[in-house]
Amino acid sequence: MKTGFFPKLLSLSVMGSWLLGSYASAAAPSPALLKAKQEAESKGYIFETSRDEIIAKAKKEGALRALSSLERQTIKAMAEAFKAEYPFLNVHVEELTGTDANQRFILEMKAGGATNWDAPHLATDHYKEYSAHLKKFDLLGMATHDVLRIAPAIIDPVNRNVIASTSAFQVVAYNKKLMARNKAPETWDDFLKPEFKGQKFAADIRPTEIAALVPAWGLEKTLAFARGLAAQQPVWGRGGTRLLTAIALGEYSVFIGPNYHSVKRAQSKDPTGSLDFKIIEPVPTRLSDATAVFAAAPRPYAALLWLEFLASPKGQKIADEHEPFGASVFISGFSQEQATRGKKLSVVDWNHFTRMQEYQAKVVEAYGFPKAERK
Amino acid sequence: MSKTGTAIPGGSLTWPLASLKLAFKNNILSFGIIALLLWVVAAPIIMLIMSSLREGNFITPGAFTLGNYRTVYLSPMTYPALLNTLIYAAAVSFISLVMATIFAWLVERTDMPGSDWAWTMMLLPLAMPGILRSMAWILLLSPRSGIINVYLRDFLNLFGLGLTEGPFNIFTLTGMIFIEAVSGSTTLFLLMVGAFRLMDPSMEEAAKISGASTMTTLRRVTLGLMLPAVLAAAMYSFLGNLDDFETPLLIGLQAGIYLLPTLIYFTAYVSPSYGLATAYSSIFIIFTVVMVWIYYRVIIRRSDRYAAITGKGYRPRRLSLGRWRWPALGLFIVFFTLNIVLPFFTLLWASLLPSYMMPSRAALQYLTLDNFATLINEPSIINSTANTVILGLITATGTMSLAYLVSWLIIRIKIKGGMILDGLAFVPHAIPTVSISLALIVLYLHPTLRWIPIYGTLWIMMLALVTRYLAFASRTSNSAMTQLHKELEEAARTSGATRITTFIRITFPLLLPPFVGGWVWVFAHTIRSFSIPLMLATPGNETIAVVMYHFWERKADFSLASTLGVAMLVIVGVLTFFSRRYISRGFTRDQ
Repeated sequence: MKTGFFPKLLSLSVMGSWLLGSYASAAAPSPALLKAKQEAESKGYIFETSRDEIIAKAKKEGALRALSSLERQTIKAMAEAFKAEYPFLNVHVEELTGTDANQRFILEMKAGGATNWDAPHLATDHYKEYSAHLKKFDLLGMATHDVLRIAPAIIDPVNRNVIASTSAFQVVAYNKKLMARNKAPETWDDFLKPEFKGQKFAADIRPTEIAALVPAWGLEKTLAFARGLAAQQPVWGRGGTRLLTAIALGEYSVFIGPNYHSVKRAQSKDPTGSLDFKIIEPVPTRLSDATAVFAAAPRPYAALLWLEFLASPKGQKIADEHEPFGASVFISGFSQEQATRGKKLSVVDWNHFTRMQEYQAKVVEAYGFPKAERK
Repeated sequence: MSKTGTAIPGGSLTWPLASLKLAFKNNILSFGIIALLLWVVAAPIIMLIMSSLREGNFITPGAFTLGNYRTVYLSPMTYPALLNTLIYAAAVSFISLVMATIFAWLVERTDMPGSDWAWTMMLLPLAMPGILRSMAWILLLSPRSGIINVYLRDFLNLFGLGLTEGPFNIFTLTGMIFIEAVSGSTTLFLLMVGAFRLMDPSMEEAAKISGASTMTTLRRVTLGLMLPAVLAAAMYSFLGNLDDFETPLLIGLQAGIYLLPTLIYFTAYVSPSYGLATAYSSIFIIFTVVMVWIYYRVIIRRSDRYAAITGKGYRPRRLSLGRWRWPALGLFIVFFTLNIVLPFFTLLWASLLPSYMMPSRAALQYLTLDNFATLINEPSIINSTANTVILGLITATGTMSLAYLVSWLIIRIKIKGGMILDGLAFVPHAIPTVSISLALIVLYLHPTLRWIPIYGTLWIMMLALVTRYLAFASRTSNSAMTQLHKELEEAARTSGATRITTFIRITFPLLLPPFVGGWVWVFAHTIRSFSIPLMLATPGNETIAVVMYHFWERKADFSLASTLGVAMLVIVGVLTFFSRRYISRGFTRDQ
């Protein structure tokens, strides 16, 4: 997918939606809007035709309790800015992150114990588990018809009621004191060249970056590449903290696949300036911070405004500044979109969320790590 | 226990009726303790078994199956990994046990100079999170950029040796064993030190009078009396090292050494299958059951043989090392340098830099306290510190109290089925932490148990941590109680004291030193505990571990994580220093 045209289209749609939003919210519903509402409701969705009404209902609710996978300082800034935008809401947002905490929340939700939350964060690993517990707001329909100011590209096109307000993509980090920029890999296949054989680069045993190539390459090509990588006998490690520190120190020269934002942050704190990175195509990209409105939400309309705010230019700016570099690759004008503009992306989107574990398992198998197989 | 007289002193009932009443009362207490133990350990054990018999995972359990066990026990991958693991665990356990026993003996039973300080220093490593310790050693001994290797190479190059890597390499089996043996010796030290402190020195003195040398006395008398503690420590250490995860993953992987926990990781966590993971845990449980059986047969059934604290002039005294006093201190300093000084200063150095770099004159210009400022400004730092301290206090007290009560039933009361109770107290050591946490979530979210309002509070974390650390606590209490001769309690009973009064006023005060040692261990492990708070903390009751996760996993910032590690070490250092002063004033009888 070439993004040159796509971001422009998105940019125009976001700007257009902001310009038209006030008009759409003030005027009587158009026939197209009413038709969209009718269609959505016939499929069991809730469809509001007026943003003003959403705000009025939220005002009555008076508060918001949300969960987010954003970092704490981002959450704090986001909640403060949201509160400034909607001063009538008492805003409380908590962090929910990590496999363990997500599992806890799912069990809590299934047991009917998470009733005081309005907008939960959804772990993409368990994406299917949430659908029965989410309010069926037709976010996509409302965004398409400018009732909500959300870029449609960040809304789940099938379920229509979840947004992914941020994204992450993977890069290749290297130590420029050990390796000149022109010697660092330019393509993924460069890692398979003889000069990278025999502990010449570091790789994470949790192969998020390789599995995220499946949307662009397909499973077979990705697995063949994984087998090729393993044959190069890289230095296996676990986690960006350990491997990025080792790269900056000069223990290894190249690290395949750390998060762009982790490298940028490490780079900004590295006074020696030895850490650098390259963006290689197709760029493994993952949608993140999936959020929706809880079916049992006591304050669903405040939650709708929260979702809209996360996706808004203000919200995206906060994600870029505080996360940092967290604004969605699909929203024009922010760091990730700028860094990947014109590049081919391999996007782990709604269609691939639920299959990422399977992709990762197969890549690990291709790496040849010892693993017991269920017969 | 003798029954004399026909009436309970101060009472009017004749003895058969009184005896019945007493038995009833005692049974109530016994049943109460057993119920408490079951309450703590049953849910995780049932969850483990159920999970191992099902397809799917905790979130979406599938059909019942024996497939997980078939996979685990028929896989050709399992046995080579198990063999590697057994070699690794045996080597680590043996080395750490030898070190722990030597240092516990030096600190408690000899006149080594500075033994009070040494005691405090031995506790410091408890506060260092395992992942930071492993990382510190990687930074010290990585072949190319490890601090020790770089300086050593510079030195060797003065003599014309043009080394470009090494000479040390942490990414070897030896490196893994070294890291774990050094850090593991602290826990075993605590298991041993209480036992050494309780030991009656009269037998050592008798050996000396009979002409035995210090070494012969140590080997043939002291260690003989120490057998309950040695075996308890060996059991605990061996089982703990079997499912040791961080070092095999951080170091072993790069060395191409695959242990059973690594195999479990690739089989079950990279591509989630909790059924397989829990079926693998059955291997550890088999080892646990075998070890509990051995311990019961060798020690508990013959506990009188090891009782060293009797009613006859219990007064521990220290052996004179003579000219070996200072070499002994030197040995301790070498150990302390390896165990704490080097990793601690690596972390301290990292915490003072914006991002980690090799120590050098050029690096000094980048020194900053910014990481400490970030730590102080972390929004939840005050709340999470308070939560952590409260959690540490209640968990340590709860765990040690339950362990002592269970040991009392098994060793003192010699309750029928004591071996099963001991097994129940030890088995949680073999249960993956995630199973413990998930079991408690499922249990306390269940509609029938909603009336116990502990979900989402510190109490549920406390329960999970008590389960997790009960194995260690019960090894401490078992070996301590085995050393206490029952004649002291019998004297109290003969004087009319009830069993509870005897326990509170006689047994417990005598066994307070190992209780305090165990308490400190549980407290330190609670405050550095990572996975249980991550799983069970809900908004508002996070602990420091959650902040650590934030720095390490999300920010991928080693310097910030090191800053928190340094802060934890300093706080625990201060606490242990003062607790040591209290302990030494209160319980070391020769001072």
